[in-house]
Amino acid sequence: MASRNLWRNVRRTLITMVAIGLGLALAMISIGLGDGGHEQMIESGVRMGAGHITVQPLGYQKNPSNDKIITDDALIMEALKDIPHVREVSSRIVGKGLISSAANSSGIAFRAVDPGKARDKSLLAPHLISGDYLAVGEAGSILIGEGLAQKLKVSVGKKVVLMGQDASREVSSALFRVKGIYKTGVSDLDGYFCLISLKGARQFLGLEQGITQVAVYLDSQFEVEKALPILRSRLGSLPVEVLPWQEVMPDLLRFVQLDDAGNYLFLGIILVIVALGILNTILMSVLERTREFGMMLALGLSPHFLFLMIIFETTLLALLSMVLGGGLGFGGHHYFATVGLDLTGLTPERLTLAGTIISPVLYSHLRLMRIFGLLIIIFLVTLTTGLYPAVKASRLAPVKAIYQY
Amino acid sequence: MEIVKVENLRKIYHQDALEIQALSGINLSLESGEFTVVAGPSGSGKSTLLNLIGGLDRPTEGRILLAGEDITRLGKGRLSHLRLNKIGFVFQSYNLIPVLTAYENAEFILLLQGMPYQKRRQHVMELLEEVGLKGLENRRPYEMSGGQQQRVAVARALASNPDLVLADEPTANLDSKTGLALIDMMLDMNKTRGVTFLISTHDTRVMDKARRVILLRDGQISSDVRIGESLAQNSASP
Repeated sequence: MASRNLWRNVRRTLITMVAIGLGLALAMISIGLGDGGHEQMIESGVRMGAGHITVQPLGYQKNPSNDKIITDDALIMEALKDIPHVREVSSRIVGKGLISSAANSSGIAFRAVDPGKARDKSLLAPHLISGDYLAVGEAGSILIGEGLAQKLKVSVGKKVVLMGQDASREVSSALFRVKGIYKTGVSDLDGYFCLISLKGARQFLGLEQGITQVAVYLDSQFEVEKALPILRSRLGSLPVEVLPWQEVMPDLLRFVQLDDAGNYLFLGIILVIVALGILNTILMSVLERTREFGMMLALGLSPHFLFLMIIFETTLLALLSMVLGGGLGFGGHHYFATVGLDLTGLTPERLTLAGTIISPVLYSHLRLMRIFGLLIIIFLVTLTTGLYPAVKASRLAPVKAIYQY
Repeated sequence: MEIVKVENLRKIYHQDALEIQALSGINLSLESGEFTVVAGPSGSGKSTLLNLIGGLDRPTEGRILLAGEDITRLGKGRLSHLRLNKIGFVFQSYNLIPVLTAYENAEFILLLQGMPYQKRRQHVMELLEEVGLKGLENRRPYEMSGGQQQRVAVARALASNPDLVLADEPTANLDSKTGLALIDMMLDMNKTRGVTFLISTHDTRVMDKARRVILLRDGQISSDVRIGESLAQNSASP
């Protein structure tokens, strides 16, 4: 009976279904693109930064300095063995210094990596506009960005001097030859960031061995909570701190949280629109049946049963709308997950936010729990919205309903 | 057996500051198996009386005993249960459920009563045949004439084998031929099934068919005539 009641006014029911369905689809696409964008940002930040989990000398996060060194990185490498979801590990030396050429000088941040590590190579190698990537075994080569090269007025093969505080807090300097020049399009990177080999960094900082950072890459950002406690317990006895990306890149975390809050607000607005749509349909359908309800109550239908009948109608409307909206939402999600949403036309150059490159092409990513949560919210909103008309109908006085409507 | 007893029934409606006395001091009783018509001009209180006896509304004063039970003291739930099991209603404008077929409309009350499917089906089919709607079971209300719809309403009212059927102006929306046929059918049901009918009307042809006519005027009984008695003799002077 509830089903037949729903189809009394086919056009109205269809319009409401489409409204709820579009709301759900829009919410799914919005969440998918939002989550996908955030995940892309986090992965980009993790790739450019210090991994999903970072192991570094104790106190480095608060007061970074070139003299804070992990002398025995072999122990850390041993501890990282057999931890589930750990995909790759990269030992690094990171620091800040001053780079000079014959023409100019500039403050820079440097990162020293093992040139043989594919993951580290993937960061800048694809962006080289001249020269080559660092070779395994060499110490005196440096990769610099196009902006910095222009400022220093150097090209590939030219010499530069890197100056900074070494491990014993003395000022040290080392000569490097520009091996390659990259251009990412991100001015913060191109004008500030340099890449050298671990061997070169050790010579520069006067180290026999040791590193300042181990970047741990996991299968995905969602595995951090599983891997972090294991790693912390294994490295508990060493003077190191084991930090998730959220602590190493707090700006990125704050941005994601803020953006999430904005998305939730948008979702809230969609839900309010959906709720008003349902309220309109169910209330109209109840009001136009006042006489009929009065007659049913007169015949002996209990108010409780009438309440349930209207709730059932609302539930049915919600379920049908969710099937429609779910289909549309999945379709939209699938499209944006495979083709992506290309915002290149809207961004003049590559964007950076919270220190990470934002890809102009957003790819949707929907997690099952998010969809499940959204469906439950829409369902509950629909059901709650149906409560008022249902209560109104169940409280009708039969005589008034029959003779006054 | 006395099926309905009304004692000193009063009903006052309040419309803003206005007080409308719909019924004032009604006393009557109906015996089981009676076929009674409540007649009177518009506004005389016919519908109000039927609504009160049917437990659809509450009196301002007085008592209504249905099969010995004072229904004015019952709560909403008990009243609902009483209407479902003891009273059948036929309304002026049919009031069928538009999304249900003739069969389903007649079946509605039995569904609420929880009657098993086989028994329910047999009972409803018999009733529909009895009211002359065999073959029209699957028609929706909008696919039937007014007379046919009112027959479905009668079948629905009788479905639960009630003690009392209250029919409020059942022929008002029907042409005279169809209206009289409907009353004949109700009379037949009254004879064969022994169901008590209380019908409100201002149609004199319907009054002619009744075995008892209660005339209401300004919320009071001005006459109560049984067959064989003279309406004129019992009429109160205006």
